[in-house]
Amino acid sequence: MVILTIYYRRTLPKSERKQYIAAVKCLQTKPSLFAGQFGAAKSMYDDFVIIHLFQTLNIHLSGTFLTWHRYFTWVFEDKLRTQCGYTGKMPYWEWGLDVNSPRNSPVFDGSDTSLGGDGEAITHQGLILTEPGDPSALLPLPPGTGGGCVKTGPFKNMTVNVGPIALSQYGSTNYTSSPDPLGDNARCLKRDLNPGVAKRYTTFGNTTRLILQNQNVELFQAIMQADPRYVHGELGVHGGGHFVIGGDPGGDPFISPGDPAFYLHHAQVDRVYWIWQMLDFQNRQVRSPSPFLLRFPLDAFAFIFGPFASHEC
Amino acid sequence: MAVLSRCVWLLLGLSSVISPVLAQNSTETTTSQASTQTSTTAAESDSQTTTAQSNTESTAAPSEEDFAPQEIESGDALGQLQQMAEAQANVIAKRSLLRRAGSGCSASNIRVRQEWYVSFSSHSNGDTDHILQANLAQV
Repeated sequence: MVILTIYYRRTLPKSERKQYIAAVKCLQTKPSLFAGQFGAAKSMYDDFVIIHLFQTLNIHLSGTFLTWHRYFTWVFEDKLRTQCGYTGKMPYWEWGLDVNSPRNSPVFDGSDTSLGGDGEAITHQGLILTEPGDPSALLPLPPGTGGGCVKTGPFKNMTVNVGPIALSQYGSTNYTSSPDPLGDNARCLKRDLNPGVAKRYTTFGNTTRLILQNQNVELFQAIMQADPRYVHGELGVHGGGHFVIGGDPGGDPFISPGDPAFYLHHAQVDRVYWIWQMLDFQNRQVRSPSPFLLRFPLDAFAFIFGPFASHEC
Repeated sequence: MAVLSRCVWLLLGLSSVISPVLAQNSTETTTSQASTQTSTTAAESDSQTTTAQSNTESTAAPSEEDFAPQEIESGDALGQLQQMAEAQANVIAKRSLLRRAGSGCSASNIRVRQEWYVSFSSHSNGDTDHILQANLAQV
């Protein structure tokens, strides 16, 4: 039996934050393992986005969600260490601390120890998400406080290369997709930090009840992801966190690792999973019985995500 | 009621921290008393240690009733859950170290095992230092 020992700390020293940011930027200069195969593959950082893209339909709303993302986040951390010399801890973003004002969070305040600020404020409507498997079930979200390119902080000049594939459009149920999501789609990093979503889906209460109310891994992961076979009209803390960040690529489930905030969000997902496991370790070392037990058939996604998803994934 | 329940949980968690130490002492006594026993006995002893540890682990996870609503909303409950998780992680880490060290080996019973190998090697005219080193590497 392999036990991954994971340590979490609530506050990362500023020097370590800077080292982490430098390591992420370093990874964005390392050669891509997909170089020559995809125009979007500009660096090893993009490799992670591409891997997530290819696996999206298998690793969400499925029994593999928690363990796959644990491993994915760990490999990212490992590359920061082995490729770029990072020696600090893997940081996480405690959602509950920032529900009232995400743009004032140390993660998003635009300072040189943040992961960059909110996107430039543009007037826009909120997203109208549809429930996977039921396009008539709508989940409207309030508009965020940004929407434009990130212009402050260490990642203000970052280039996003991969996608989009299923980027929700403001004020409608439509999605924006590139005709060639793996081609050269260089564009700015956008964010739309969203306190309305945070207050509804990522409070301390949301996280704590998730841990306390769900006694087996099937329910725990289903509620965390707001699997529509279990709950309706929800995002869960996982989806909630993603749409607190929003923007492009943050609001596109295929390519969300293209925003550096993804890894702090998923480190928090993993932290919550770890706490839940440790509270009954004897009975919580398993994932759902089958990796595909909770997987939607591909055609359930096809009408949402378009022909790319159904033909290529 | 909530506080009482939490204390019970913490005590159960504490017992699982203590039990490996108790099991270790038990193993040590057994091994010391039977210094001429074979390694099969050591394996049985390891098995008993594992069983003793497992029995203390069947604790129920805390539930929503263990916390006041304001504790859940403020993040205090999450902080307490994190502390409980860290306590359990420490138990696992300690146990992992014990397993890697030969499941409950102390300085005295490591010495006993060394003596047993010296005895064996002297009967077989083997390379005593080589076998000792191999044994030490295992523990």
